[in-house]
Amino acid sequence: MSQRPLAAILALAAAFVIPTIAAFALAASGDDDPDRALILAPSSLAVAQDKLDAALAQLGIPAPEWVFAGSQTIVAQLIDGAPADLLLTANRVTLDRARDAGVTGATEVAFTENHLVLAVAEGNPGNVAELADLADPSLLIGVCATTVPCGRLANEMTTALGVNVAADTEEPNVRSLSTKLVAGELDASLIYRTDALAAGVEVIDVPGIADYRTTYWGTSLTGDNAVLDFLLSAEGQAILRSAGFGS
Amino acid sequence: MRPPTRHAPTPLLIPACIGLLIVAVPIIGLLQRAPWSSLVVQLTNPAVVDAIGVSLIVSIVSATLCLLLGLPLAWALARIELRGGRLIRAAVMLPMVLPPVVGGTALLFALGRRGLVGQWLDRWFGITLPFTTAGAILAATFVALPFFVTTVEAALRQNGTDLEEAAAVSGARPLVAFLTVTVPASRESIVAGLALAWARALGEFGATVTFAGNLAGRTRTLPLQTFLALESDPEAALAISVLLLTISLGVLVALRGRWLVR
Repeated sequence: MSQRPLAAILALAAAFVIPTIAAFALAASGDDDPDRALILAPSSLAVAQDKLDAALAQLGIPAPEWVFAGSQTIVAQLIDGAPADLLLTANRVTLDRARDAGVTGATEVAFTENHLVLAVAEGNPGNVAELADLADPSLLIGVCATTVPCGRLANEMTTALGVNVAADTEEPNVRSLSTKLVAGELDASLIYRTDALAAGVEVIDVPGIADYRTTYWGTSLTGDNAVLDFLLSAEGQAILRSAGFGS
Repeated sequence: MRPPTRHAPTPLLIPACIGLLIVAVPIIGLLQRAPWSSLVVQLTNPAVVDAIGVSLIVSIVSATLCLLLGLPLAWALARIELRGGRLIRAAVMLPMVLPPVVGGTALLFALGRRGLVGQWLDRWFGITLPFTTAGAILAATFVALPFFVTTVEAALRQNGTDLEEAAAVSGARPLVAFLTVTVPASRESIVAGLALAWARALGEFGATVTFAGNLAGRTRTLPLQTFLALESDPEAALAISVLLLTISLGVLVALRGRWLVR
């Protein structure tokens, strides 16, 4: 009888310890499949992932492991030693930060572009008609924080067009911003054209908004990278265009 | 209590030390990287001062709500025998183990302006909680309340009902007995629960950023400012982290020193 609690404790310990050790062994060994490229990519590119993976598979290139986050975040992770084969960023500034820290590859290529749109919640509850409506403090307005590329671009564009945005929230990445718009919690927000397309939200036409663009950069960190080559190929460019990227 | 043992078996000591290291090493790493010489400059930066202001308002109001709502709730859980009592208790404790971002999502779909309850708040009273300081307070209260309720409920159960019954026998109304007998008898636990709830509210991130958004001077608390600064100004993020670490440690030391060990 007195043995039973001990046996139970040992069984419980084994039940926890063995999977833990196994998980650590797997996780610490890192890249389990050396053929799969590990890609640090900006959140906004996530909308094209499925199509890119499918096209790469047809070419016999193993599906890459994508890590999506704000460009600032992935660059910071790379600088702090995160392993990666390919770095993609949603603007030049973040790529420069990576280069200044000495973590970029031999070449840097621009592979696509994006621009912002004025997107409104379903049914346009705030009756947003033009960019100047973003200055209305009675509306619920969301933008990206200026630390991420989409917020930096929004700031540049609205400043140039003379609109003082009365923001109610500055989101840490474009995905969380677009989620809050789709949920109907925001009346309007400045999101990428690609996110608006993916979410199927209503967009208000703003003359000149497409003149303010951000360029996506890629740099291969481990020699030639088949995924980066594909992104630059005619087929890769067509996939990006179908998701709303490019000119 | 038995005296502490002097000869701990090595098979226990090794994992114990590893466990200690998992907690201690990151904190030492933070302290070692902290910008000590510019700490004051970093913490008096206007963006940080704004965040300190928002954090103080949010955490203090949230702790007050925990007291006003959590004390009756803890009393009800300790004293009222209900069929679904276990289920109710589990529901109250849920935010302690729930990922805060899930809590924030739940709040958004319940109390957002298209949410289950939120749409009526919006339609009838014109109240929209997301993107307001009130929303941040609600998110902080959601995660902090269980810390207060568990602490106080345990004390109420331990203290038993003898004093309350004695008060009732001598003619005190239940509410009077609660305020003059029950509350004073549990005051140490109430203070401890308040300190824990306040510290948890101060550190709240996931539910706040999901439900209340992120705007300077309104909903951007210190943890949100830390997260934002981490990507643009790591020195500032480290300075705020040191501040939050000091406060958390201070709360724990105060609890150990004065209220938990008698």
